[in-house]
Amino acid sequence: MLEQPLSLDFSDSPLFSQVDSVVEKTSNTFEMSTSLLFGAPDSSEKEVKLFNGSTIKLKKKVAVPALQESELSNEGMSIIDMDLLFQKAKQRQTYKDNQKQAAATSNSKPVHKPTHVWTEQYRPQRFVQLCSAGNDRQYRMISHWLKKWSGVVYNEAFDDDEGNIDSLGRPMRKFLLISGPSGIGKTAAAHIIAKQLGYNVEELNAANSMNSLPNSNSSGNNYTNVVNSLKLKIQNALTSNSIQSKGNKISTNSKPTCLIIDEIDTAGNSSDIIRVLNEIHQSDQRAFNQLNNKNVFGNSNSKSKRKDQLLNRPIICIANDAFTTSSRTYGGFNMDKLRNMSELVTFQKPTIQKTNSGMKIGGKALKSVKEYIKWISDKENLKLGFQEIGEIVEICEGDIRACINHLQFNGRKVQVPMIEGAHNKSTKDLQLSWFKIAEMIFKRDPSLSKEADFGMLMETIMNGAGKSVSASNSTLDKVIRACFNRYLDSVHYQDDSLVKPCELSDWLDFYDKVGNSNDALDYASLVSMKFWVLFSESNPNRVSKSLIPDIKNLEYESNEMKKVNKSIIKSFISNLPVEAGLSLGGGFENNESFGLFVLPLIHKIISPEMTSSGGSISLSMKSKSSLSDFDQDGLVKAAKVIKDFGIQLESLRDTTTNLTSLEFYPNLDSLVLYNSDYLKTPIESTIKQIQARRKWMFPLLQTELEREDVVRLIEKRKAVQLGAVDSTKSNKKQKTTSLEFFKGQYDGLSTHIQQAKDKVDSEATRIWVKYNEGFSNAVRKNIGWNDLWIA
Amino acid sequence: MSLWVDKYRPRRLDALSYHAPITASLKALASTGDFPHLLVYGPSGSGKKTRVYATLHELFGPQVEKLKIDVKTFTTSSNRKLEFNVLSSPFHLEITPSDMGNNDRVVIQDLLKDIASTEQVDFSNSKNNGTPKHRFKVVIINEADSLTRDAQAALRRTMEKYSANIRLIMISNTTSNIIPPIKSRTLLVRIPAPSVADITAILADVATKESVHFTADPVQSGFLSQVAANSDQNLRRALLSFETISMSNASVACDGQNAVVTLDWEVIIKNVSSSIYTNRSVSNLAKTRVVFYELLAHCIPARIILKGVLFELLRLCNNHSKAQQLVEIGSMFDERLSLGSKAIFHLEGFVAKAMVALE
Repeated sequence: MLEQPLSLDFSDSPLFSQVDSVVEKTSNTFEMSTSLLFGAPDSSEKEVKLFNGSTIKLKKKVAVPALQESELSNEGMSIIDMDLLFQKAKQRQTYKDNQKQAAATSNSKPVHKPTHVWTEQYRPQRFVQLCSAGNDRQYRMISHWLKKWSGVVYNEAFDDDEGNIDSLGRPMRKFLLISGPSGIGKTAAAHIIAKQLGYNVEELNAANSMNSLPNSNSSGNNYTNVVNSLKLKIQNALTSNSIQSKGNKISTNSKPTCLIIDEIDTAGNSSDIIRVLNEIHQSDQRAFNQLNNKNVFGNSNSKSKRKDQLLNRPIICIANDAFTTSSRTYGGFNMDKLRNMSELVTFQKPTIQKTNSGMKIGGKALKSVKEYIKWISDKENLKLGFQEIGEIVEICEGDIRACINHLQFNGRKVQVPMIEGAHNKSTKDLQLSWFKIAEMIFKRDPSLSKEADFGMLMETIMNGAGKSVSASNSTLDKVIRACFNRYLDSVHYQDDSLVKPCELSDWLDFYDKVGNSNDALDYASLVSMKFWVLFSESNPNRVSKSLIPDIKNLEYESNEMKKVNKSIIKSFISNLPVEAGLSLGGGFENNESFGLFVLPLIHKIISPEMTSSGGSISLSMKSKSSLSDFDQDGLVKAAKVIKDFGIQLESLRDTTTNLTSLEFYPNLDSLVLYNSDYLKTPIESTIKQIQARRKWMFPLLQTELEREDVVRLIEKRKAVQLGAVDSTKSNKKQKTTSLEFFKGQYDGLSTHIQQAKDKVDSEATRIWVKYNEGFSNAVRKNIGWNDLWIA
Repeated sequence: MSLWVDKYRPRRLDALSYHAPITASLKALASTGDFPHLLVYGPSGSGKKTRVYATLHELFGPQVEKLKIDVKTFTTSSNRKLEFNVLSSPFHLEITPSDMGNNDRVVIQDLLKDIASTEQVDFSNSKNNGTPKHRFKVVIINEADSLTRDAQAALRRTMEKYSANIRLIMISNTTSNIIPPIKSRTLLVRIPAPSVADITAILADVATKESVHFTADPVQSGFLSQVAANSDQNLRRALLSFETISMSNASVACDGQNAVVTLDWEVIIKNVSSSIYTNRSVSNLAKTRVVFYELLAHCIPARIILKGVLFELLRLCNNHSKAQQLVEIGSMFDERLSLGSKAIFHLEGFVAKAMVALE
């Protein structure tokens, strides 16, 4: 193989008929074969450029015969120059290696597509590739929910004993709402799990959800157009199966569609989407009820104009925030509507949390993210240590997508900016992360004077590497928050006096006023310098144990809980009957009094304490009659309040502990119960007490509620009948003119129809007669016996 | 309705029990069949709305009670759809501007224009008098103090221009956020909080009507006045807590302990305050921060927390000059709280300064 190019090249050329032997002599045979360059053919000497850059000159075969002779004589003497042979073998070997290397480099190039974004490249394709990030349970919940659909979609048998499914085997809640912060794999998980279960994923997101149709200008039509097209789109997605073509033949086993609506909270027309979803939900509900009624009565009495459709494909909605407050300004209660219709799955950021007992939770989640990043870095040959990966994860705050982005664009030169290195000019270009700056703020360099050190840090924050942090509202806020979280510890270990916190409070006030405007941001970053002046010390890390456990997450959790509680108040208010809303202080949500005392007191009213047996009521006491009169009154009252305010009793199963708990909906407990050391009873025992009480009280309440329903129905019927009697009486009086006579007749008729309708609602045992008015069915109305008699 | 607050809410002006002079003037106002724009203000739970509705009842008859909620959609200038609730009867409608956020100016203007352009024709009365009786429609604006400056400025002109068709009744807690031009265009009606005696009388009335059993005479033993005193002169709260108390026992014991419905957040604030008073250290400051976060998470407004802590500290502190200092600090931080947005900074700052002041 090696000799071949040589012979091919020049053996048949008359000019170089003997050249091969010359080449042999130059002792670079193999490289020549690949990269020989020949000069002009007419010159007597040939310049040859070799692979290693050196040039050699090739002469004509003047000296050849002698050499050949000597060689021949050598061979004749059958003495082989071992050195030469070795040399040849070596050269052959190096050539082979070179070839291999060249092949390797040329092959690896397409793998290293530099244009590819890693977040796309490393988008997980299979379930096992998903980075758990502490959301394993959530993944399981999704697949569990999707699994339930297979009864309808694939006509598989379903287990009735699963619970939470309707008679068709579908899950009770027809939509799935996945919420959680960005970049932790909500979309990826939904896609993969749906694919894994054999669905074809149809995605609707903010980009393709058609904000408005281009050629419709009139505002009135515009709206309906959008809604209709959206509806069409969703309907299409739900009813059609995709047909995949594999190669030339179209595969017959098509896949059912699973609709994923991404970014539902931020899509410009989220309210429209939710409206459409709501319609689908309602039409499904109606169709389902019809189906059930059919089974009971044998005939359908559907007269609604719209064609109700059963929902038989799963719909998954993905949102960043299930309790969006920003939509309040333009959306109203949209997310609340959606939340009520759908099963909630909340993804969590992988962060380390410390419980009150000091136990760490979530460490595993963080580790899995780190391992995932490590896996990518190994694949990309970045050779990052766990330390650096930890840094990256922390900078990106657990956002996996941000981590990968960070890895791709900064990963190759990740250097840990040392705190000491901050004085180094060379590190100035490096971006400092906000938590590094926060750390720097608490660090004083003992080798420098206070002024010099101050100047140094000032320079860093105002102009240098820290500029990127102090120039943005959000990162500066993070720095200030981090400092705020930390300063108590450092002051505690320094002099433990309250003077400095006092001084700081004025500066924080300044920050609060100034920090929100972009114009004065430079001044706001001065506050961080104040932190340094007050609290910095040469050895900040000796503070090992924080005064407040889990201080980092305290604020985030508090805010989240506030959002939840606010939405509880909101849903409570929206359920209030109009009258009660007036007397409870108006049905507007900003009213403080609801959170302050109205709801706590109502919570007390609807969970009455049974006094008769001193709280030690056994579970066997399930009848109302076994209670004392007073307790019965309490029960009745509680039931009435629950009924009036639209509160529901629910039994929830916690997925982590697998305990069932009985809750009200809206969940007043979360608003009313406090977890504080300053209360006599810790929250755990309070919850236990409440749950124990509810265990026997909820069944009682439930029966009471049903009884209340019946009572109200009867009262309503009585009222209607009374009204009817009144109206007939008045009709009799008015029979004076012929016009009024007919009018009265008509009124009587309509009240009778009304009455008949009401009876239809309440009595299932009515006798129906098929009666055709005229010969066309164009006008159809319900006509009872009464109408026939009157006519 | 099942709650006493609702059950015993007076529907007519005659049924109102306290503030007799105000009731009388409202009655006089209603009897003329016409009234100027009103600005009704007073603390919450003092009966502002009850009076407004009773006046409307007097004016228009029982039809006012037929309330329904409409959801109105409105497209803002930036092409965003805005939904808000309007509570309405045939004669009036009620809006809450805080539902609309920053768009309240446009919404209110549009809504009022809309209402004003359609004239009310009242046929039922036309037979008797020949001319329709009440041709104006009443618009109640809740939380008028949360109206933005823009919206208030827009209202000034509207109030005069459409005064033939519209009467505004604005309800607010204070007049301090309302611009002077509006104040001058309205008749100010102040509804003060009911006195403890007023509340006691109402509670006693309810107790007899509901036949609540007491161990002793509730009025004589001062039990009801204690319940009243413990409710910050807020009648709504007094009634709710009285109902809770009466539900907890078959016959209500008339001692001081029983008169207080302890709400958890109040207990927490009380205990925190006493710990601030006794243990003035940085570590205690750290502890209070956790508590404040917990309270804020339960939708307790920061200013209520501040007020609670301050008053509790004042109760504990018997040194005159220190108390003065505390009040000064408290008012300073109250201002900061209402100007700023980061409540926890200011709450902690207040505690730190208060601790220093108490030294």
